Amino acid sequence: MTGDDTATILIVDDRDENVLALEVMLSLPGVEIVKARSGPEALRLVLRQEFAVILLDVIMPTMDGFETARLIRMREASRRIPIIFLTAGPELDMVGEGYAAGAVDFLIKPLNPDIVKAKVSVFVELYRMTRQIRRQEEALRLAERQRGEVALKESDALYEASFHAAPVGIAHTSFEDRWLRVNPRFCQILGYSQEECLERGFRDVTHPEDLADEMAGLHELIAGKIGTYHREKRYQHKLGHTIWLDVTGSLVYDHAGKAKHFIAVIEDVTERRRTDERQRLLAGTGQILLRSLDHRTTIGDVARLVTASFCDWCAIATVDRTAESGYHLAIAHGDPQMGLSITELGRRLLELPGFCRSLGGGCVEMLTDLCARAGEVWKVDGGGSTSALLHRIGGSSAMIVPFAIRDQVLGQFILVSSQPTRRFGASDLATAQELAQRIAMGVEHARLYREAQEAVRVRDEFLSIASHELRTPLTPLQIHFQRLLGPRRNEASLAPEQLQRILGRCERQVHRLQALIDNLLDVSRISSGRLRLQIESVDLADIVREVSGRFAEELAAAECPLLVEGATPVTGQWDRLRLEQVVTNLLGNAIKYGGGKPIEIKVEATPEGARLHIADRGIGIADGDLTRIFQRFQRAVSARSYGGMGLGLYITRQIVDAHCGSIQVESRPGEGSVFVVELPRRVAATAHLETGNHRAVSV
Amino acid sequence: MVEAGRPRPAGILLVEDDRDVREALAEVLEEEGFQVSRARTGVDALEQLGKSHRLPAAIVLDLMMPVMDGWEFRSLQESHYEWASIPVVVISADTDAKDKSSALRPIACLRKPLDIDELLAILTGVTRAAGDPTPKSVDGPGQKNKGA
Repeated sequence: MTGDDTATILIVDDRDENVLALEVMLSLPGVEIVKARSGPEALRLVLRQEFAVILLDVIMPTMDGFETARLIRMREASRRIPIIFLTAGPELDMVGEGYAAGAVDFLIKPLNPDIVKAKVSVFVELYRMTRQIRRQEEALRLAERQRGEVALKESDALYEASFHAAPVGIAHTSFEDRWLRVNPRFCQILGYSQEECLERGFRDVTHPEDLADEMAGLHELIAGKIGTYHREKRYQHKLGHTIWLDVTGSLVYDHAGKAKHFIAVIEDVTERRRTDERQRLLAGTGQILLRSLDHRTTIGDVARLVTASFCDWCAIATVDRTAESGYHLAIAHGDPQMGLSITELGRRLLELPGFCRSLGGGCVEMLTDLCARAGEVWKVDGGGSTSALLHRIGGSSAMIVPFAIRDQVLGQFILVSSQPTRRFGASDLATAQELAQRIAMGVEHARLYREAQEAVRVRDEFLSIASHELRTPLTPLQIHFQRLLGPRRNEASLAPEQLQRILGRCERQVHRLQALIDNLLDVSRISSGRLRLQIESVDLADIVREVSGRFAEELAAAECPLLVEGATPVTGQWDRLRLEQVVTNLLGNAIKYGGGKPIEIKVEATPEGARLHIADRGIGIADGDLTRIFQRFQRAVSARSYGGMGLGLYITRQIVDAHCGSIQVESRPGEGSVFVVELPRRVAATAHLETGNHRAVSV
Repeated sequence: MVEAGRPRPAGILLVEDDRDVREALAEVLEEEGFQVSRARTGVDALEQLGKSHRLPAAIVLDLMMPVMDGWEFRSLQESHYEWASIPVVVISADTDAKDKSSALRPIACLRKPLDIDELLAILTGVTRAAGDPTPKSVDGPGQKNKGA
């Protein structure tokens, strides 16, 4: 038993022998005896300490036991102490008064030690148990309180740790829009220190264009119209650049349910927005490039789209053989107040000494300061109008990205940021390269499509012309057959010489058809590299005379006088039939386009071999057509005016090339044309034809 | 039209640059009793019209010709107060001859190689409508031949 279990008994009796007797009787383990000689002394003791039980003598001077008991019972702290009255043979009235005064029992004098011990022990034990229960209750309460305190501490610590370590920015904001508490991530996102933050509020950093919406949202929150405020909006970083934040806000209430302040959670979504924006930009670029095959228009649209969301100005240069500079330049500038028209800007850029030269380069460049490094990149002097131009259009950070298809540079993409805070990084460069690649593919697709369209157009035109050319000799052939075989004709009515003449004309049409078909087959042979030369010793002057003779009738019909100069043999190792074809084609053209004027043919020997001149004084050929006429299916005249498949000069040139020779033309519209063929005396062992597949031709 | 009791053959102006086509057609038309004037280009044809004392009953016109093509010739012919009414038969080897010649308002468009009987029927119809003696009534070479 511990000291705590000591039960104190108060014995109140005016007689010492009674006190002593009781003290002896109650000498029990764990029991302490306190003695009082009078009622007042007992009251003083009761005020000071706690007792398990009070043994109170009824009859005492000054204040009797009942009076003392009543006063003890009046006090809250002592009213539950059991009181056992000590009396000598009590009357019934006295017993009643005793119980009324708060007695729990009576001990009758002379006192029986066993009875005293038994009765007092009950109350001592009761006291002890009561104390024990109270102690346990207290211990339980204490334990409960301690547990609550620990949990609260842990919760606070967790909140603090979360607040500080949260990967999102958190701010408590007063209704006056002052940040009351901010976490490190919040400071990091906005670029301000904690101290700087506490001097500011959301209004100070919100992008001006988003402010009205923000205020509207906060008012709805305060008015209880919404429980949570959520926006994705722009803020200004301490360094000046714009950042995109995902903001979620709500109100914080006190215990009484009154709104105390706002709590806002912010997340930096600038990179995500940028990625989304770039995806949109790439998709938009693809759509623009697909929209039209006129790349001059589409590239201008791409430049505007890129400038609207990615940079402050950009230029897209594409190779353009028809432009004076060799490039087509599409420019877009985001600032309409630049004070310089886009056309003027383009003109001035193209005038920069090294601008066009740099466009052909194949290196990607990242420039941190375009204005400062323009001299190095575009080979311009540091000062003067160039520098002024660059400062006017701006150039803080720039990317120069060439674009190519199959190692052939098609152009260059120049993207410029004018804001010192917006510097291009690796991801920007990746985007620019992706854009450049799409532009290159767009340009290439457009080119291939144009070429395919042109090839289809040329083919269709050729088929139409070929059909026309083949039908022309068929017409007299059919007329003659109808004369011979038709219902209104009778063979017998035709004189033999007339029949002979008609058949002769039919044969002539068959030859015409054969020549046309031979030409078509020649084109096919040349295209597939199957043009073979049968080399033998040939006199070119002889060929000219022979072919001229064949044309006698046509020359007469066309009223073209022909002057042939070249009586001396000019021999070489050539293909006779092919050279006949060359002379036939050139003389045929001279008659066809000669306008009935004299034609001259001259054959002469040269130190290398032979030279053939065929000159007419007909309609001539325009400058722009001089190279075209040697291409397949090309003609310098309108199909409405002149027949022909556009193959003669093409085949002629291929034959001359196969002989390792050359063919030149000089002509002026209205004055006629001179074709000059130069042939080496002997063809090299192997030669290449200028055909699609460049197959070697054995000779 | 009828002179000294003998009708003059109907005149046809044949405009065709290809010599072989031109000659073959002219010969057949002449055999059928038409009087054929030959022209190699549009310019030739205009010159012939200008020189002639008696306008042809019809013009047989090729489209693709050097110097002056069929379209240009037809445009000038139609602009002339006397020549405009001369009916035109277009002959062409062009695949789209009918479409291409529709603006010329020909009375017929025949595609080369052409059916000579069809051309003769058209020209006979034209000359008959114009009151010219038909080739057959001139001296009836066809009938003569047939009868022989």
